[in-house]
Amino acid sequence: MSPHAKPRNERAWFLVLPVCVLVAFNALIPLMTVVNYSVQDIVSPDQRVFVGWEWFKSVLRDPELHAAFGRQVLFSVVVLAIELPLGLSVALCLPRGPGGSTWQASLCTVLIAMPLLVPWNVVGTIWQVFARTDIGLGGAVLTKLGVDYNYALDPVHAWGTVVVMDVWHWTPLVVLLCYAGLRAIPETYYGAAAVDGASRWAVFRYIELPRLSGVLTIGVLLRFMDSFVIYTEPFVLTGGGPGSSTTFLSQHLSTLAVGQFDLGRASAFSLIYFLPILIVCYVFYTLMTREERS
Amino acid sequence: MSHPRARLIYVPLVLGSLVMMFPLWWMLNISLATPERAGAATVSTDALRLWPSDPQWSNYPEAMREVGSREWVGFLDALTNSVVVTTITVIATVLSCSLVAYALARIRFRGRRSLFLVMLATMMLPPQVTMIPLFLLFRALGWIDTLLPLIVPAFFGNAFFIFMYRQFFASVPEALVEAARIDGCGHVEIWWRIMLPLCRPVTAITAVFTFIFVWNDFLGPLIYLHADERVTLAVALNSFRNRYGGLEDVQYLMALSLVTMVPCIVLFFVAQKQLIEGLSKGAVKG
Repeated sequence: MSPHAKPRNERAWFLVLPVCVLVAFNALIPLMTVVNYSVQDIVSPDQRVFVGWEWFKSVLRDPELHAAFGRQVLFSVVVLAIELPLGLSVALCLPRGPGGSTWQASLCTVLIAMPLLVPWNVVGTIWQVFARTDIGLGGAVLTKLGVDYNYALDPVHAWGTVVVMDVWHWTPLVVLLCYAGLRAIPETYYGAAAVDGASRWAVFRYIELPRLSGVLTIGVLLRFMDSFVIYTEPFVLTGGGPGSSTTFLSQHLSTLAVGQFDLGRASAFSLIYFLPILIVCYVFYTLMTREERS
Repeated sequence: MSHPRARLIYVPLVLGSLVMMFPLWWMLNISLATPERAGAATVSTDALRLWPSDPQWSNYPEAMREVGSREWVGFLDALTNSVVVTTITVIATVLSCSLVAYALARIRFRGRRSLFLVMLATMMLPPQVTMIPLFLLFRALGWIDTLLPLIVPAFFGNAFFIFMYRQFFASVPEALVEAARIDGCGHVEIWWRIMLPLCRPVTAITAVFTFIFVWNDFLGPLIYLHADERVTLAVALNSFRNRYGGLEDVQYLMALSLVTMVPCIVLFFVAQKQLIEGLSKGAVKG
């Protein structure tokens, strides 16, 4: 598309009005408030002192934040490393007939998608009860097997439980995305591969994987975003404990803002938190629009 | 895919589906348990029984009756609120997202790329960042304890669905739009008569996922709704959890959780085919 292919139409701003309001509502107004708080020490509406970078400096030096950030990155990486290959392999197993889906595939899709339909706070509740060693089936079975399992006391077990819960909850989304991507590959590709005598691996490597790059990009970024701001489920399951071993960034932020009502530090923290998200967003945008521009 | 090995593929699939279903089956199992069993006996081998020997179906009406402070009224109020909020939000989201996406995908105007980028960024803003400022804004408008803070933002669209619609609209052949324009259609007519009918699968995705998110949304209603007769089902479920979270009442909690999930499950069953089609069309072309 050359820049002069179509005449520009400034009236389009009228149609985009909702999105401007959305951006103002969800981003500009809150961000302005947050910036406002982050550079001042506001004791009361008429008692405020400009402090410049002080909050930022103090937040960036906070060892708790460093720990929470490390945990957050580790969590996102672990979750992505498990959910994507797992979701992809499940999607590859799902049968896909030439003329639309078979009823077996439909049934599997619905069954696999079930965890996506559970309310977030119920997800936490299910696993909280499920993993308890005294009444929960999962916890009780592990104990019977001789594992000294207790997610409320052992940080490793708490981590394991949070990761398993997230994998259970969100792998279905990856499966659905990949399955949809596979369904969109024309039958003729497989025909050509069969004529060439291509192995199953070659079909996957040279046909399926490249054709799935679009959905996989979406999958990676959706899962990254969600896992990077995860709140409700670990909050209900472990409350961030034991100690602060499962306290992720958003929970650390909430404690700072709502718990300690330390709005200056919390606002500075929000802005710092937003930075990696913005970078990922830019990468996302570049990847998604790369093909359109070329 | 008719060779015999294709049959074998069902073995891991069935096992996988069972693993996914397991916590839900277990929820159902507990929701039907007698008070004694729900509390203590789940540890023993008794817990592995496929179906409770003595299913207590009365746990369900019992749990629904106990929602809120007034018998049954609390549950019906919460149900009505959830239905009102969800229905209006779904319709508003579909209309505004597709309209905005149309403008972003098919009209060239100054600032289009940066607007799209900023919009994508809002999609990733953690809700904790916007929570307090939005609350102050809605309070200044006097909207606290009404359903408005939950409904009105839907008219401004949702970044993720705008993104999906946009990817789809961008792939509609230009010739089609050109033909409509020659016939005298304006932008709004092209959007309504050509784009929307062409992208029913994307609309299905938007509607179903919006439904599930709004129906299950917990933080929003919790912040804005306080009066008993104003809360939605998700919030009612949570106060129920706080009240009946004890071991002896866990069967009621599970029963009510399952009741809350029913509309989402039904909707997903009905729309499943459209959803997969929409995902393959909308997502792959991106």
